[in-house]
Amino acid sequence: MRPALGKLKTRIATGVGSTVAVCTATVYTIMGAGTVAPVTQYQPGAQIDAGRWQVVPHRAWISKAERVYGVRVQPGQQALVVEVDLNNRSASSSRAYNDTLKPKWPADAKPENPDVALLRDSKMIPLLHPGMPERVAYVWVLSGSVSLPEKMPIEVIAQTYKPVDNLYGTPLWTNPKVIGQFTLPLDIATAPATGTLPAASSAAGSTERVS
Amino acid sequence: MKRRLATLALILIAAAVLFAMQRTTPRYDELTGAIPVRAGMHETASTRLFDIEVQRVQFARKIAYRYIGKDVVLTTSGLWAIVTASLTARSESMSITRGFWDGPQGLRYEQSDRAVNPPHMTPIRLDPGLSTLGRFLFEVRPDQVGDATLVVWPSGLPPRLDAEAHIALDDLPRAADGALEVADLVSLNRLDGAQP
Repeated sequence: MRPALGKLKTRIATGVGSTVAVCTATVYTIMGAGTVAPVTQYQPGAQIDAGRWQVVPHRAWISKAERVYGVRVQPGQQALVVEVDLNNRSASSSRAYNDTLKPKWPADAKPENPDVALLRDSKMIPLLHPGMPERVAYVWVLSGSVSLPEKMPIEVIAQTYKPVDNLYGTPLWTNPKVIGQFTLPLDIATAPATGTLPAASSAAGSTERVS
Repeated sequence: MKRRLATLALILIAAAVLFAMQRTTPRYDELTGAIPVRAGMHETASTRLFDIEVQRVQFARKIAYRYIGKDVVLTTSGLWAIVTASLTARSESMSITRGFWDGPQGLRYEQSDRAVNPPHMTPIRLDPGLSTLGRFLFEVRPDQVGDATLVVWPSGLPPRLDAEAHIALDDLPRAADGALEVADLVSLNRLDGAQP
């Protein structure tokens, strides 16, 4: 009996590392299997603070025209166009907005990265400056055979700001995470009316008096 | 007892010194960053590769220029800021592709990319000994106008352990009562700002 118990003790002592590892993995698996917290739902027109960007969703539509906001759509393809106001919340001008919106695609859709166009003068990949909201269109070109739902859920992805990174000590935007979702009705093949441009920034009224 | 207290005090002092050193360690980025060469408007800032003297700053709600036989008018959600500078290369031909408008709170506005090939705009080609007039065009928020700095470096990556020009924009167009003068429309076709 005694030698057997001693053996057990030795075994536990020597295997304590792997025991802890196995237990931790089990605990994490159990925790991960639980229900995922629901993402925040936003309405069109809501201001969504998504890390570097503030997003105000406006409308979405499907285009089968040859060209939409300067983006070429080949025959047999369609384009999902999502119009939002983007406001740069960071301290420097930036073009890093491509990964901010992510539509929840049906299983057979394999879209490429979106093209982003400024609506003010149809400029592609515009540079957006701090605190100056602009209306832009995200255009995803995808195969014409894909049928998109009538109401398109779109996820908003935010990155976190790190003032100094560990290597160079420079500011860094990192760790993309879904922070919310909005759903826009898709008006199939509606030609866009000229959208109203976003209002000038709130400070515009004080233009004449700058100290 | 006294010795113990002395040891404790020494340990505390050592901890404080180590903490201060940890907090104030310069980052790699700061140690090898750009070396600013500061000047005001109407003064020459001499960097290693070029000299720059900012002559004029204009503000406008709209800009206009002629491009391939068409008149282009551009609006903005803030203000257009047009900086005119005289530039000279120092030892070899080079070019300057962009500038930055640093606002009073440290917001950095990169040169606007919306105007396509307006005249006298960046990229500005510089040759040694030949002074060239060039323009930098920005879209800025109206509250980023006072105490701003123009930052210019030669084309390419931000300079490391090399000079970049920091020009304090201290001579802005102002009316007699100190209010900023904002033109409704500025034509970029001519450097003096007159209509073509």
